[in-house]
Amino acid sequence: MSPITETRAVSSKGFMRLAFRLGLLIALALALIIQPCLPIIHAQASSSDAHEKIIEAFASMQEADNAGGDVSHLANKLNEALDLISQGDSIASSNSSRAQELYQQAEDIANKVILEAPLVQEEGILAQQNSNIMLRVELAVLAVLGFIVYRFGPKLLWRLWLRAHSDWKVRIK
Amino acid sequence: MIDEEVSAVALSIIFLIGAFSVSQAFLAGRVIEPFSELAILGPNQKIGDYPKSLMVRENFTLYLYVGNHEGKNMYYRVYVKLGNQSSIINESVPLNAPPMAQYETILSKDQIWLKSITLHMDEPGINYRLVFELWVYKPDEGIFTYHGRWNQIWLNVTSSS
Repeated sequence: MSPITETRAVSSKGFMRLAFRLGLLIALALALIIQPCLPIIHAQASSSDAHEKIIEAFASMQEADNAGGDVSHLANKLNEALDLISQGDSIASSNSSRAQELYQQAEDIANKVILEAPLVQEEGILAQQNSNIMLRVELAVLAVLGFIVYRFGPKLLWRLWLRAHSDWKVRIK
Repeated sequence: MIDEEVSAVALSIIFLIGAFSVSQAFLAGRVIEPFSELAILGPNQKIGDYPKSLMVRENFTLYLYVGNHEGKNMYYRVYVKLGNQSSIINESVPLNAPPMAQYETILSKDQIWLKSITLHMDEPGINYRLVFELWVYKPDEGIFTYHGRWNQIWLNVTSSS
């Protein structure tokens, strides 16, 4: 290889390294610029996002209700969230940042409901199981009571009747 | 003979108690005729005293009343729309007009919702029909659908000048 060709090859390698480093620097700079913006983009809650979250929470609430859970307090929370969305909608054109805050609060409430719904569902399943056990116990008690009445009822009745009328006297006319 | 009669009566009573318990357990929470209520109340929260004549942009207050007797939780939306004498609306067809406002609530079984709303009219006109439609969220379809319940009040709106 001639010295000129070697020099060209070396300078070409150097250029490649420089370009690579420059590319890395640009990528790093872009990442640093974009990174702080990303959470802001995610935090920008909208009315439709909040609604979607409420629909998701409503579905969780329905599941809990179908399992027999008491979901009235979940419904109240979702109504709070709906009120916040409504307030946000009413000020969205005049004060968009406050509106976004309200939408975010609504989403937070919906998220809490989504987290709480499975617990209510479990409580419902447990309550239903207890209710079934109680019904079986009640029926068993009634069956035993029925047998006792059938077996000993008449004897007991007449014994009690005799005791209640022990002072009666038989008069023959 | 009398012993058998006493036993039969006692057993009948016990059988009735058992049948009642079982039926209560199976019928609990079942709604024979599910329905939802929609009503518009006047400013005094009564059926009456509705506004009839208004000025343009004059605020007026009404109360929305929604009742859930569907036997399950419901996600309701009430649309407020503006129509006129020729507008068509019935139990199966909602008014073909854009909503002026919408209100939403989620009600659990047998819960009711009373909400104060303040509205105003932007354009003068006579025989306006302020229509309130009840829509419900259908989880299976993932959309709100018209529930066939609607109310209206008639309004005449005059310009303020």
